[in-house]
Amino acid sequence: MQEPEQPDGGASGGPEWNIPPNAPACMERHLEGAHYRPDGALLLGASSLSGRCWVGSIWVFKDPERAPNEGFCSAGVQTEAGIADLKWVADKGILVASDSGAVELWELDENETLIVNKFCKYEHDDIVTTVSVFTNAIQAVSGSKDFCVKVWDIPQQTVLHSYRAHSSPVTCVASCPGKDTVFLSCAEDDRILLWDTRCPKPATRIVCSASAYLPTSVMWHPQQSDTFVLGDENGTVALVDTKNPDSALSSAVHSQTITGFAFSTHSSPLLASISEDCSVAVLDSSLSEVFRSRSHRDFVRGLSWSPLNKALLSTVGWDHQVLHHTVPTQTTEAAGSNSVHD
Amino acid sequence: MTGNGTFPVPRTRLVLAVLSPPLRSPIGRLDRKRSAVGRRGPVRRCDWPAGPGARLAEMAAAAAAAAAPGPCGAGGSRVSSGRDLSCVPEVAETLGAVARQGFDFLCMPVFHPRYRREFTHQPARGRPGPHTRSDLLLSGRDWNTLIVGKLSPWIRPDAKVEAVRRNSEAAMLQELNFGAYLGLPAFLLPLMQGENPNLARVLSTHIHTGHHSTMFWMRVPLLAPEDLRDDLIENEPVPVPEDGSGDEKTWIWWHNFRTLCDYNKRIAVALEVGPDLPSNHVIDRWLGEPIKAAILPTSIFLTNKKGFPVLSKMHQRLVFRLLKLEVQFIVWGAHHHPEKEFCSYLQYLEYLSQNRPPPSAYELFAKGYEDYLQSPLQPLMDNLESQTYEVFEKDPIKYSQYQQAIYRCLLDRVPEEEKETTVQVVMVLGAGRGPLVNATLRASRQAGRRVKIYAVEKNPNAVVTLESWQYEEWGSQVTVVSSDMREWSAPEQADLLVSELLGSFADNELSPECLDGAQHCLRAGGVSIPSTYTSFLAPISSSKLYNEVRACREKDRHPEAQFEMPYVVRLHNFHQLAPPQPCFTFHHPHPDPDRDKSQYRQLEFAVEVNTVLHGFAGYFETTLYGDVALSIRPETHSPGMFSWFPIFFPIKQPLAVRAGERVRVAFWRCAGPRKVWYEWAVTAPGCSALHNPSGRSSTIGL
Repeated sequence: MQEPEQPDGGASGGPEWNIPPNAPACMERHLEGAHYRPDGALLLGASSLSGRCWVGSIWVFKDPERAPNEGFCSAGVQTEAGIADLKWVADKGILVASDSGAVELWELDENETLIVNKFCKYEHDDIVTTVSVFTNAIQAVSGSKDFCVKVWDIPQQTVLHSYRAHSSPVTCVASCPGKDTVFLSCAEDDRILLWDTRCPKPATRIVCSASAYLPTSVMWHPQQSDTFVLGDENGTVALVDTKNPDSALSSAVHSQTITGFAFSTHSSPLLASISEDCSVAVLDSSLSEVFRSRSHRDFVRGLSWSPLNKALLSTVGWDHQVLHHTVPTQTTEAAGSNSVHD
Repeated sequence: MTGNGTFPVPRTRLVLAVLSPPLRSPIGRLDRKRSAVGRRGPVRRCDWPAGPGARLAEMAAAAAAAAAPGPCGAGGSRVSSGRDLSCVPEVAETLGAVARQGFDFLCMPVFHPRYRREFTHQPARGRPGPHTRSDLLLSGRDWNTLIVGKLSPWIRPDAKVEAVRRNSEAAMLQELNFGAYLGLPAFLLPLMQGENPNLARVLSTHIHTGHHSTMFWMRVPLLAPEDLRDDLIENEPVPVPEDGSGDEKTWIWWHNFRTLCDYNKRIAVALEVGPDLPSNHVIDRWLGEPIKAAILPTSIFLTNKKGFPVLSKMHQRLVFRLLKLEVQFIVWGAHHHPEKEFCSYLQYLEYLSQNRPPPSAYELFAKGYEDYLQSPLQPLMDNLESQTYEVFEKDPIKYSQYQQAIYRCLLDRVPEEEKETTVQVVMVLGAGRGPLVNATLRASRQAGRRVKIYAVEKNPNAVVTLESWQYEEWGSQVTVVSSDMREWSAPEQADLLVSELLGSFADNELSPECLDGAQHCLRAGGVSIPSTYTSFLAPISSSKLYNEVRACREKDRHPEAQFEMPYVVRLHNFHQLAPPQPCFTFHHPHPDPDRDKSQYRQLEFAVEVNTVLHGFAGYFETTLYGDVALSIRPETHSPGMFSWFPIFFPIKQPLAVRAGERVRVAFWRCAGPRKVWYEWAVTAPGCSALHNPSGRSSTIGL
């Protein structure tokens, strides 16, 4: 695997070149997900989607500025198949949606230099496309191309519920912050479902006229408990109130499929969105664009706001770049092209 | 079943076995057919001229094949099976693992199923590097015998969004072209919705450009996923169809798709079986489709007491029916019986295959002739061959029925007290090599009644056989007459006329003309065996037969002539839409033997399902004497009798029929001084053209 841009290891690398024992020598090209831990450590998932071996790997960088340089990772491990999605589970756990059809739990060990496997459960019949962890860090939900949504008990390593309510591949699931039984799912059957696992008929369909295309991404608003953001295959972003889904605020932010969202931690959170149009956008609460980066050369696949610097947004993509963007806040200057390359 | 540990290991077996699977069905069997008629040169299959080829020559070969099972016979006993995987991290390794599990082939994505590609917009369009892995990872032989390609699931050529549609078209062609480059024997494409015009167009474009020979298996679920979802959505209950109309949804998807593709022979069905099955009539209808593969998800398997995966009774019945069509099975999904090896799914299918209801003698005899078109015999115009007679004479049922009929007739005609004095004159019309003479002699001995036999045969070659028999065996009790029965002036009048002149459609070998022509030999009050016969017709749907007929187009005749002639065929891959109804009946002897033997009949059939009509199956029943009968009508078929396959009358244009509509057909038997022919036309629910007007495409010579 050839990296497109290798930071010159000579000058800056010397003293810190300290590869952890079981990290792979080489990171796969296609970066699929990026998530900060509250202490600022960055989790990355990588897949190889075009080469000889269609495998994947998991990486943790305590110094995110050095990612994706393997030489500066804190821990890394090879996985048997590509990684479609991954999430932190509390501070040490990493939940992985695998191309193999497995949901896998990995854990940081040995002073966070090793990533060890805790379980690998082949419950889905096809590629697992999406995972989301509940706030209690005990349960999680997964969605797959086998049309199923499954709710997991992580410590018990078992499936609590297996739901076949969709009739097409599931594109995204999102757990509701602060609630341990509520989540959203969306699929290529055009359905957006609001779930509460306590109910006998746990799903409610949200019919949202703002988007007429296949939903590809959903995420809850961090502060407004009944609101979520929806992205579709046509690049539309919509803010949907589950109590009143028809009066959604929407905007044609991207020109292609939306691949993910992240809300910032500002008092009035900014919404970052990424897409297969290779751009990154940041929107304010009225969905007006405050920032746009077109520095990625391929589909953008993962994003995360830095917990240490409110204005810092990191994105990853199939071009193997990890980009750190400084986003102007509402109070300061207007949006500019101040994205920072690594 | 073999034990878990002793599963025969892989490579050689895999290669040998699989050379057959993806290739066997389309090619292997064709070769065998050709060899059966090979000596006739490069003649099209169904079209050797009106010769004695058809029914019998074929049967000779079939009988030989049944007696000594060749490679084909052996191949039929084993299930051919494949494994369907979405995730193949390393191709050679995965293929090896799948082989060790006992599978014959692997269905796998040719491009990574999540690797969406952009063909229009920069910068993603300029993505560097290869878009998939190299062909060098497997040998060419492995690619073109062991691998079935799968289209990436994100490709939706009928998407609403133009950008998605354009990308999908380009990606689909890219994947199909790469599959052709690899030489894959088959490619799986999903059919997941009702509207697929653009999918059909892209696929047709691919088929009509380039020189590949890939088969395209359309993956169609037996029930729509929408109707299989669990009832979990509060504000959207799973609809309960009132009349089971949802059951046939996916068949309509397929029907519309293959119609768009103009019934292309390289497009077949890979039927995905779900946990629930549709009603029986919907399954029946699928059995008229070109099903090449059945996809069995591991999740439909139940667990038996010992922890092994098994199928429900309903699913078993479906598997048995699919096995009859020589469908290949594809196992899809995760391993859901972790305490057993994965190969236990396959072993279970093997077990089912070995424990399926054994084929009947008829099925064994007909093996290799399923859906294989042959021209009906014209024994009146042409002289049959020795082997043809030989195959006929082997029928275990027919001659014992004749013997029984003659026996009853002799007892009825000659009272006990006259048995020494009365001699019945029996004329065997069309004696061939003498099987009916022998049947008459046996009946005579059995009844204790005396007979004098005239064996009349127009084929001078068969007369040689008859005269040898007469000289060596029969003696003066039998007189051999080398003459056409219609022209022979008999020295005395007969009490019994015995003949076997019936074809698959009763009168289609001109028994009425022959028997009426010979009736002058029969004394008043005399008996004809058979005494009456009736043809039957039933509407059928079979894209397979439609395609077989269509392929018989010839340069030097009317472009649609192949649709204007009947074919003798062992009907197999078909769906009968309504029970057969009687068509033409003849009685012998008839008070007016010189009457016009033309007949006209309209039949009306109630059809209960949405379907498509491709033609009519023809059968016959005959009463030999009293209640002694022969039949090839399925409801009354004489057990074990193999002398006749059904007949098939095609129609030029497949005709859509909706559930509840009636199919009406007009059938004519036209009789001229020199020839007889059939004409037919569908008159409801829509009109077809009149087929074979004035016998322009097919006639039977007198």
